[in-house]
Amino acid sequence: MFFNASDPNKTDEELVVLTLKDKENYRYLMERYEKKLTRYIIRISGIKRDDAEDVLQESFIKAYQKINNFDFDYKFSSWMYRIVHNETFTYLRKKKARPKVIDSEFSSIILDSLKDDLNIEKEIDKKYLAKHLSEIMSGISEKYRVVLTLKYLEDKDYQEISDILKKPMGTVATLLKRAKEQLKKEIIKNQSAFKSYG
Amino acid sequence: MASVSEKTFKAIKERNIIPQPKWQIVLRNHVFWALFGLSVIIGALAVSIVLLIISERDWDVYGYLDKSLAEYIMVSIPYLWLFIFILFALSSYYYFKNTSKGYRYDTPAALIVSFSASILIGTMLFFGGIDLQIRDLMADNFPFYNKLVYTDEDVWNAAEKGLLGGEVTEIRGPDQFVLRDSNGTIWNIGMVSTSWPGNLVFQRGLRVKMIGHPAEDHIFFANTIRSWSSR
Repeated sequence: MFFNASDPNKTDEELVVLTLKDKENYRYLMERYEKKLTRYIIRISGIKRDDAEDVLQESFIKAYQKINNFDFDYKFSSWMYRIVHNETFTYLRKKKARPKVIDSEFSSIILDSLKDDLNIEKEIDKKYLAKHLSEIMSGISEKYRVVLTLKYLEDKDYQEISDILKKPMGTVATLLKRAKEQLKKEIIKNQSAFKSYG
Repeated sequence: MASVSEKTFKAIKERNIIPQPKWQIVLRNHVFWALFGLSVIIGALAVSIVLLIISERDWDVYGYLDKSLAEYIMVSIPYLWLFIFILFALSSYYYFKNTSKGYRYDTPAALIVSFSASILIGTMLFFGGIDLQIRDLMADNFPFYNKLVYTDEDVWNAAEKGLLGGEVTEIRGPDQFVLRDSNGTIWNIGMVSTSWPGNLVFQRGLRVKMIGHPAEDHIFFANTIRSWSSR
């Protein structure tokens, strides 16, 4: 039982150690991350599920090849997210595609999480928001969307975001601050346009 | 339908994919640290030579060269060495940021680490005397060096303005000796009420700097004699 990799109480890092002894154990690590990483790929790129699964498969293979490179000072999840993140943008570059607008469910989660931070609730027409969330999110730079995704949807802390994006924590804080500012600006801009047309 | 994990695992087995050996990864990380260290050392050598040039410059003779102090300072700044220092401090910053945890440092913090490492080690090398050997090595082996750096030879090769330096080749008496300047010209040096530091022992091979006035046929009367090097 002690070496049972399928034990859900085993930490990711313990599973890495077990994988280094026997590759069969890598399967358990992949299973743990399959769903959330597929979701993450779709969230940051907007690609179809089938394509996202191809990207994920490549990422898992790459991670396995580099498993000796895993540094136990990091969280395994940060390391894995970083590989998936890089692989996603490599895929987009190869396809010469820009990340597409995220779905409205995604947008609403972000806006819900940010409502207090942005202090926009009173100013904004909720019906309008519900209808135009995707449009608003599409006006935000890719780097800001990624950082908002990691913070509010993937629930990563600053250190984890720093390790995933390979940026200092100070830069992550600045990116988040600017992301929120840009989001607020986009919301107000969109609503003004909506009112003038309405 | 098979999950991504199952498909991936199958692919790993079928394509016989194996993890990269640890030594390759360790080597890659060490290469960046080694390049960082090398850049810091080269930057440090440049710093030590900057300190050497500044400390050895005779700041009291600019008047003889028809220059203001500001002009003298401007020509005396060792731009070449400063450029080498900045270049290698920046490259050490680049390598530091590319080490496995380098990205965790903010740009200003990483720049401070890189620049201060070179400055600190360079200062230690300066006090350790390594700088003299490096500078002489450069001056002797790179013909362009003296064109790029305003050296003591430039300052003390102006007999017509009262500044002359070179190597003592012969001592002809208590008030006369022969000197060869950096161009190879032989000078007869006369001393009348000449002042020189008490610790300066006249002998062949000694390098000196002199303030005085020239006379005809490569004769120079020295009012003040000082050692070529202050160290």
